[in-house]
Amino acid sequence: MTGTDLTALSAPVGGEPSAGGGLWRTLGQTFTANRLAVLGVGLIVGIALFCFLGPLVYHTDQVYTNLAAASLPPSAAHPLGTDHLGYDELGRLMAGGQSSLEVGLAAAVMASAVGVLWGALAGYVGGVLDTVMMRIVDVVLSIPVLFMLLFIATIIPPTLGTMIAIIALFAWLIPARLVRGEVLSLRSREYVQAVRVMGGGGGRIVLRHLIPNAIGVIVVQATFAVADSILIFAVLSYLGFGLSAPAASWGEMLSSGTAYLYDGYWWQIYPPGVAILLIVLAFNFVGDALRDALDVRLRQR
Amino acid sequence: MALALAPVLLAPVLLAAAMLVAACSGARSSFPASGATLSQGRTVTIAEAPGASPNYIFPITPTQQYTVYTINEFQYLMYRPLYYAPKGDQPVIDDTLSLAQEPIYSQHNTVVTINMKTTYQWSDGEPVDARDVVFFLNLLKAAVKESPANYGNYTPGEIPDNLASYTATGKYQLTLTLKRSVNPQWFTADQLQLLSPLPLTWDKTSATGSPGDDDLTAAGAKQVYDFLAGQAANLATYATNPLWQVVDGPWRLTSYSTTGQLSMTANPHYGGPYRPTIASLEELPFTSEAAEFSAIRAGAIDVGYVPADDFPQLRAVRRGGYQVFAVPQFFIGYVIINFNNPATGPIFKQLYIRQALQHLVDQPAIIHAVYSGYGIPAYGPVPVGPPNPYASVLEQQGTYRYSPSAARQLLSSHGWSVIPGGVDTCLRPGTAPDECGAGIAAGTRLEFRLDYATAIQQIETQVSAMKSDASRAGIQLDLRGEPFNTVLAQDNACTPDQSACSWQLSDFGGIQFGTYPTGDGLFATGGALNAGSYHDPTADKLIDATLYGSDPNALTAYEDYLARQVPVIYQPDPDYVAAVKSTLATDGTFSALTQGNLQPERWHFTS
Amino acid sequence: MTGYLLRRTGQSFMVLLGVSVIVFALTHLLPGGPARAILGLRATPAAIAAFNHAHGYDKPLYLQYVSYLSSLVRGDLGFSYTQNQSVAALLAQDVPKSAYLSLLALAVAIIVGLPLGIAQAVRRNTVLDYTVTTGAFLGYSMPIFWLGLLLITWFAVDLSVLPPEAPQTATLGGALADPAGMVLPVAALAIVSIASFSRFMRSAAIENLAQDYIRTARAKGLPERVILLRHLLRNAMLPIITLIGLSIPALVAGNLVVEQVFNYPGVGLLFFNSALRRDYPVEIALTLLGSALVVLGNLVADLAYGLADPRVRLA
Repeated sequence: MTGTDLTALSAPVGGEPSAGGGLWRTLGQTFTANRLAVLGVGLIVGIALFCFLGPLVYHTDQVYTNLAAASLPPSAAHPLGTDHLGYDELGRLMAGGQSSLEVGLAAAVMASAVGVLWGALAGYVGGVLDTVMMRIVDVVLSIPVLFMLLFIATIIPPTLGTMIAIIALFAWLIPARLVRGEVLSLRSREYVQAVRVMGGGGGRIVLRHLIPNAIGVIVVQATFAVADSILIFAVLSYLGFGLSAPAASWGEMLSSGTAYLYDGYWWQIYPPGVAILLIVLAFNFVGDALRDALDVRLRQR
Repeated sequence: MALALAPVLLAPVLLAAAMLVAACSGARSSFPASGATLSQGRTVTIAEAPGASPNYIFPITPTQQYTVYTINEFQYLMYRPLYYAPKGDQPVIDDTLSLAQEPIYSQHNTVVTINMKTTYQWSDGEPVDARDVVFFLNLLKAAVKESPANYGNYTPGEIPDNLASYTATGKYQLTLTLKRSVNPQWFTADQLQLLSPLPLTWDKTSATGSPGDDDLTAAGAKQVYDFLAGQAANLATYATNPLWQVVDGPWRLTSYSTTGQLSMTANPHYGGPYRPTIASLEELPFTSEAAEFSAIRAGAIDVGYVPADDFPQLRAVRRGGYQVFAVPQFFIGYVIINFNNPATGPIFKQLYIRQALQHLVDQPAIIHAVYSGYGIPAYGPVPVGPPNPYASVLEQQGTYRYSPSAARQLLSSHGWSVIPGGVDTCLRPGTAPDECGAGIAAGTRLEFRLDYATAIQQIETQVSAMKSDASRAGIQLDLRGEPFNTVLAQDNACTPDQSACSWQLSDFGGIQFGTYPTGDGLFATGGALNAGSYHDPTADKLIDATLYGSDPNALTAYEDYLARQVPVIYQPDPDYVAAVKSTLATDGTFSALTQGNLQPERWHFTS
Repeated sequence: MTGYLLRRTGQSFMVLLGVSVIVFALTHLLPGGPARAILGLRATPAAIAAFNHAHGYDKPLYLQYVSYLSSLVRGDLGFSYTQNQSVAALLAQDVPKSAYLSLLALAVAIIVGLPLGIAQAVRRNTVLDYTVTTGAFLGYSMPIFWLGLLLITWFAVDLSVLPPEAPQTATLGGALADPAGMVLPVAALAIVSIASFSRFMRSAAIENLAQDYIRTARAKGLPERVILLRHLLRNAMLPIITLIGLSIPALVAGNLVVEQVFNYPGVGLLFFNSALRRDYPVEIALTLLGSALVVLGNLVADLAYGLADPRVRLA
């Protein structure tokens, strides 16, 4: 087996379908008992509100430039100053957050969906198909992600859709591997055998039984994937391969702020960086807590 | 046409510094003795452009290496062109530094006689004579026949294709017979400027072969070219290969690292004016503009430049012990208009639409915001700066200056509903003077997609400002950033039925001219750089006259017409800012540096 | 064991072969091709055709791939057309510099990260533990380029105590001669790794401290420092090697970003610039090199993991 299966080894192993409510209640209690998790959820909700509802309260023009008001320091009119195009930095932070959250969530969901189906199929069917499918995962997983993304980004026009797609292109591999491991271990369980004996079809077994049982692992993985996708999106934008103007993103805000490091425009460097840090931190908190909660469940069993 | 592609907007102006310093024409230079002694044994360090280190030594340079950094700032130091340009910071031939007298045109401008100066010699003792130019032309012919990409300045139909014959009619006299009569102004500045004598000791087909007349047959010339191009592909041997040590310029290569770090020492056999007093020079590579600017801030290099992003720092640079020279580049920046787009092409074909678009570019604001004021507005196909004999009065005045009200007026008087901040629609279709124009249906919306190269902040700021200003007259620009190479790849002439013709407006930067700002490639029907398929028989006729007519005012007629016709949306011309240590002086002008004209042989240290 | 090694090495080669197929196909199937990008505005159809012919791009894709592979076997990595030199020469020039940066950062991460983790394990749930944990969370949630920008702003612009960028040098010797220039890049690269290393060491140590042999050692009255050093660290050695092996992908990616932020002329910057110029031969070679490192890291991690855990049999 290849070395990277270590990730699968360290992941929690799913259990049998249990009597619904009890499980979720335990999960919920463990989760809320974790103060970092609460903080994480609070941050995510707060940032989402800030980005999506903020513009309804705090009106700024994020489409039309105002070169006469470029790079102004913070003032009453612009609490966080303006950037090199004269956009209000606070309003831009909201707009940039929208794209960061959208890309992060969409890429994670897309990658998880593809990864889950891929892994479940490989694990359930097994044999040659499994070998081929997992070798493909091995190969793609060996390519340094940033190299590949940078390369693709120099060729494909950057839109929200393509950004999501190319980030997801490299994020489905780990879920695929995890789910395959889960399915392999579940496949031999009695209830799956029972369904099979009762004449349940393969697709039905995968969809109705195997995937729901692996859901814990998938959710934990997807939560971390959101954090990773937001980071990668920021890096790509920072390197100049992000969305087109006038679309905003936190990485792009930092990228244009970099040009003025020596001019002391601190308001162009700190806010977007802190924003990225907070949102990534929040998803990591939640992911950690979910993992712990699942571990606890296993321990209690 | 001779031009160097400027893929990135180079840098931005102190108009005062752009004032000409007259070169002491004809006279040999004589330095103050003190300068000469002070300079003895000193090395001057020069910054290279980031990621653009000189990397081709053989003067027949392939397209991918054909940059001002490789040609002007490297090869010219060692191998002098027959006609040297620019002259200081002006884009014209420098007679003093040329290896030949002004060419003589005869037979209705179909025969060119070139008399070469007799003072130049190769460092192996051979004279630089007419045979050396014939050698160059033989190899050039072989090179472009092998592949058009073998010579960066090759345009089919121009040098060497337009020569019926070329012969050495005397030891120092060359006679060219042309296939058709030419405009001497163009031919000298644009075509003859490409010629570069090569030493006959290179006339061999292998490293061990003995120099002969191999170039005189087509097959032999190809072998010689292949041999020399092969040698030039081996960067590691540039400083050690005896071939490249035979020079006629003021400098000789002494070390060269594959990263682009190189040093040169004075060539004692140099036969031209301005002999070096500085012992040696060193060119240093930088990985980025920021890295280069850090070196300036640290005072670590003698000669460099200030990147556009750092123009706000110019005062600090001066305080740090540098003299600063800012001059516009001989460059036109523009947004290409795709006249063949099936949807928007008919709209673009309306002159009043193009005029309105040009009225909506707030050039002074862009110059202020993007280049901290270091740049000049541009309204036509010939750059107004640096000061040059080509730009007409009309170009200097500007045709369609920034004026949203003029744009609104143009649109409403041609039947458009003008909705500032919204999107205009055509209310009165038809071809009458007060109607929208041919091919524009009622209800057509004034909205265009503008593709631009991302990762170049100046372009991004520029198009963002354009979008804002266009909306003041109800023109909606839909910006779409794409990788630079993608924009470049799409900027191709196309026909309306092709799927590749879906682009509408495109901004990749602009182009830099060599010495003669012709429009044959840019705006003539079928021109190599006419990506937008601009087609206008009058323009074609005017352009043809600038190349093949005999009227000395042909260029003015051409540029005025195209300034009025707006075949592209003209953008400002940024300055290039050179920084030179205060301890360095020249008998020429340091503002020459802004045009890629490196003349360290004229420099000396004052302390 | 030998059989296992051979098989794993064989698998690694297959993976690399797969990588080469993917990368090669991508560079050649995507629209635009290199000719237009390299020849720029002068790319007339004739010039493009001549360029493609000269570089073999007019041949069927599988033939191009076969000839690429056969020259790769001969050690020929291709020729960079924008830089006018062989890819091998470019790598010879830049790989040592990147290796220096990465190894230095790795060393710092180990020297700082592991003791931190042990200290946390020993003083669980103290202020120290919480502080380091918080720091670790911040460390690996922090975009590395922003970290780099902050370091530049604080130490180079505001305090002016360190240069804002890495040594601008052609050779490894130049980088070695300028230790001040390496401080910020190494710090940026190391901080992220310190975060994950200390987390890892903390849990490994907690697990180990509960083991019987530690209890025995304590019962024998050995000083705590000896226990920690001799027993704990030794037992954690192989997992640490595993960790290092698995951290290679992050290091390779971090290296690219850090080199870009600090203008360090290594392979990361070379890749970045080549991607901008569509210098395919360089891009392909560097992607293969990066993949080879990742595969090698996995191999090492696997072996160490197997050796460390007697329950895993390397068969």
